[in-house]
Amino acid sequence: MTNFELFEDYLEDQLAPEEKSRFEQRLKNDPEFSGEFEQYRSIQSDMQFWQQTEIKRLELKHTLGQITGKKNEKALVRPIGRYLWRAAAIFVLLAGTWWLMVPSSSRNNEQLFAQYSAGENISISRGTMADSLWEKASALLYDKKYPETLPVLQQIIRTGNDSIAEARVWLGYCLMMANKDSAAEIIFTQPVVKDKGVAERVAWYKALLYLKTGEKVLCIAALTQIQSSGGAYAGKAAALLKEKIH
Amino acid sequence: MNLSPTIYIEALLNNDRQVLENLYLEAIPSITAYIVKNSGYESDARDIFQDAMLAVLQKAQMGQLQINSGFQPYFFAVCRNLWLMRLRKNAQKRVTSMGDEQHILLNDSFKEAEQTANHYARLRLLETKLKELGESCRKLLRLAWSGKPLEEVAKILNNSYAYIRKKKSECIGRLMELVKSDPIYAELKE
Repeated sequence: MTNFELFEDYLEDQLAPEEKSRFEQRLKNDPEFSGEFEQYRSIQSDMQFWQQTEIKRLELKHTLGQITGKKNEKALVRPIGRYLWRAAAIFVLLAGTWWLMVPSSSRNNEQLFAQYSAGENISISRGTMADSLWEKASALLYDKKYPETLPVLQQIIRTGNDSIAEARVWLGYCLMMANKDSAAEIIFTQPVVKDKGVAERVAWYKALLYLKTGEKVLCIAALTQIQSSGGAYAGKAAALLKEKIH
Repeated sequence: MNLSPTIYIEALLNNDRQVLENLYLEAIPSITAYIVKNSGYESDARDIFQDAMLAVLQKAQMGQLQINSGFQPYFFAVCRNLWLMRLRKNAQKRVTSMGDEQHILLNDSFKEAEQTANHYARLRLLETKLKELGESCRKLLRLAWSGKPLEEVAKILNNSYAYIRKKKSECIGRLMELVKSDPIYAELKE
C-alpha cells in the first residue's frame, strides 16, 4: 500500500484501529511522512473550496470584465483594429483546416449537443416577487447571452423564494452553454430536488453535459435512465439514444 | 476616496459594481505605472487588477483576511506580488527599482498581501495541473471535490468504493508530482 492510499484510507476512516494508531504514531514521529500527509490533505481542502466557489469567481470576473472593458474602450479600439483582420484571416484558415482534418466522429457529439440543447427558454408565468428578474433572465437567455444571464440567476437565487431550485437548473444550463462545464457539473450533481419537473430537467441537462464532454458511458447511462422513467424528456432521450454517440 | 477595508471586502463578496468601479478608477493608475515601469503594458495592468481582485475574494471567502492598514496599500502589494510572479514565470525579466511605492510595501499589509497572492497562485497552479491529468482522474477528483461522499462518487462512476479510494489517491499523487515539478511551486511558500 502506498502512502497516498494510506492517507486516503485514514481520511475516509477505513483503517482498522491498530492501523490507525500506527498511522497516528508515525505522523508524530516522522516529519517527512506528516509533511506529505499535510500536502495531501491541503490539496484536497483547497481544491474543494476552489471548486465550490467557482460561480462566485465567474460572477466577479464578469463584473470586472465590464468595468475594465468599459473604461478602456477608447484605448482598445486602435490595437484591436490593427490585428482584427489578421486574426480573422488566421481563424478562417484554421477553422477550415480543422473542419477538413478532424474525423467526422468527433464532430458528431458537438452536432448532437447543438441540436438537442437548442431552443431552451424560460417560461414566465410565476407571479412571484422575482418576476422582473425572471423576465430579464428569460430575455437574456432568448438572446443566447449565457454569461450575462448568470448574475441575474444568482440574484434570483439570493431572493430566497420558492423558485430557487428552478433558477439553479437554469444556472447550470447557462454555465454549460458558456463552456463552464465543471461548474455546470457541480450544479447538476447536487442532491436531487423534490420538484419532479425540475429533477427531470436536471437529469436531461446532465446527460447533455456528458454528451458535450464526451463521457459516452455516463451519457448513455443517464439517457437510458431518463428514457425508462417515462418523464417529460423520455422521448428526447430515446431519440438521442438512437444516434451514434461517441 | 479611501474607504475602510471592510467596505471593499463586502463589495467583493456581494459583487457590488459601483464600489468595485471606484476602486478600479483609484487603483489602476498606480498599478499601471508600476507594471509599465517593469516590462509590462497597460493591458497587463488590467489583467493583474482582475487577478488581484479574485485573489482577495478567495482569501475573503475563506474568512482569513486581516488587513490592519488601508485596503489600497494592501491591494497594491497583492498586484505587485502577482506581477512579479508572472515576470519570473514568463521570461525572468529584470524588475527595476520599486521607487515611490517602496514605503507602501514596508507596512503591515505586505505580509498579508504576499500570502494572498501566493495562495491564489497556488490554486491557479493546481487548477492548471489538474487539466494535465487524464480524463478519468479529472472526472473522479471533480466529483469527489463537489462535496459528495466518496461512496456516492463510486456509485456514479460504477465502481467499488475501495477501487475509487485507491484511484483517488493515485490521482492526487500524480497531481502533487505535477505541481512539485513546476518551477513556480518553489516560490509559493505560505
